[in-house]
Amino acid sequence: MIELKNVSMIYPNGNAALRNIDLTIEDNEFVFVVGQSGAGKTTLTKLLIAEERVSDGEMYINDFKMHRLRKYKIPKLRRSIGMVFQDFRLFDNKTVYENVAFAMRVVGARPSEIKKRVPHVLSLVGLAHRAKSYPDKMSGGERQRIAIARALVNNPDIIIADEPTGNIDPEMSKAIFELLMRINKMDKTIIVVTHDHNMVNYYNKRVIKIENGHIVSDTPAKAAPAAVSEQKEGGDEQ
Amino acid sequence: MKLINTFFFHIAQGIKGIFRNPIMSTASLLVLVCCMVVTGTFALIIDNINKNFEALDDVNKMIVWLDDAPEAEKGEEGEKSEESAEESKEESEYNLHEYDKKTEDAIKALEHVVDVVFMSKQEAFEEFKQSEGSDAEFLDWFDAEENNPLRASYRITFASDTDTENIRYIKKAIAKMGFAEENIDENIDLYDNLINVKGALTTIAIWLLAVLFVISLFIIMNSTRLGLHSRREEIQIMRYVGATNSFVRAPFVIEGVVIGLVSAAIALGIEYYLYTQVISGVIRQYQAIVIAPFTNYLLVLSIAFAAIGVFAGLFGSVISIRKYLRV
Repeated sequence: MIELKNVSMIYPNGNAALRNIDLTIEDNEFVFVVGQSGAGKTTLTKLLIAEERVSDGEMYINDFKMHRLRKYKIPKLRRSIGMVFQDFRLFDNKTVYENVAFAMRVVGARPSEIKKRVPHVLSLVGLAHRAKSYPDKMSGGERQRIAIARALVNNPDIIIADEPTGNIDPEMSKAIFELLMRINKMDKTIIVVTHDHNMVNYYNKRVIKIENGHIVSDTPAKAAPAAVSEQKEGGDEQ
Repeated sequence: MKLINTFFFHIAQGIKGIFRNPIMSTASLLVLVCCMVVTGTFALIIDNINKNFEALDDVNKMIVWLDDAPEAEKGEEGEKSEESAEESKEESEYNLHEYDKKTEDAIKALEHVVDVVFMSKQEAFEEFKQSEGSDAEFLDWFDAEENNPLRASYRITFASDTDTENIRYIKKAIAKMGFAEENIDENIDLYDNLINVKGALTTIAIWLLAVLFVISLFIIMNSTRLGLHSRREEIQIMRYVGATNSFVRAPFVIEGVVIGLVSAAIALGIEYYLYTQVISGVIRQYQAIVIAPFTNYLLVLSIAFAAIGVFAGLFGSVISIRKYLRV
């Protein structure tokens, strides 16, 4: 479970990126985080992976007290969270297999474990047949699926996807969201930061809207489409 | 098993890192090799000076010559000889003309003196005759007993690590016993010269070592910094998937250490060539100087070079990592 109690995050230059945030995300939930650029979405993801620290308030991720987290515990926390980025962040000089295996390698997994787990995850994202290909020869959708496989390979509890479809055409975007939905059904908490209103509308999931560092709406799964329409209007006005 | 896998993974990554920045790696390697070769060469020369120093028989020896007894003591009369006999008696309680157990013991009791041997006129004559060998024919004119031109002496040996101050102290103490200073022979000037040469070489070696070591540290630091820069995306991904600080840092440290060890191996090879071919060749021209075989130094040099290399690699990369890598 992820829990934020009255959390604020102020950067050293005085910019308050998040202010008095109260938020609870249950285990195995699927959550969209939406908002304008600079609203505080990225800061929220940075807090979740301990790249930034809360300035005020309390924050918990499973057993980790994020507001008091010791440095040496950060790697352990990050092993329980899989990150997916808009720009994929893959190694073009490594094969698909090697890209995914790399994530296991750096947490000290045994070669036998890697040999067993990587093909399984690749088949899960539909890339088993491309294991020996190089990412730079693949489409945006395929590249993002490699990134998802890498995020998934260490079996984390939470997957955070920061604009996962930002560099992908609409058809491929749908496939990526479908994949994330499937992963969610494997008892993983999914947090997707996105600008893709169509997808948010399409999937009837919880939507958290952030504006100027505040949560301005938190719409549960059933009422999501309406909340998103509202947000879309607000966004267009700006 | 897991640790072994991780260890070999780091080694492989460290070696890959060396080839990722070949120019900087080569620069680090060359400066470190220079640092080791210069230091090693100076150390070998200084040690050879020391060894020759110890081997020189008369460097840590002193000879106190005994004058023949004045005529007065031999029974002849005369105002002058009476006066000198009186003077000698006043000046010294020791016998300055013949072997005397008391004199020998008094010299032996001096600090740093390890041995005192009395050599009579006759023994000196025989020794001289033997040392001249077939050229000793001219000595037929003399006789060890009757008209021996040589003098009796005390041959004093002091500890080889005795410094010039203490040699002067021994000389003064013997002079106080009544022996004329001109009758006491030592090699303080030679001793001083050798110590000065050793001192100058040591100072030059230490300065060169320090300067080259600092330069090599800077180059290794920059090499690590470039490595960190070129691998920044990889490092970022490692951080996001939960790699520990030590896991991210280890390949850079290993890269530095491997450069240090390779430098040590190359430096040892160059040092071997320099010592056996160049230094020995030059020194062999002076036949009096003995040069120790390179095998005498192989172990010490290997350990010292490896230590310098590992320390430089470790220190340079760790400084750079601490400064430029935020994990």
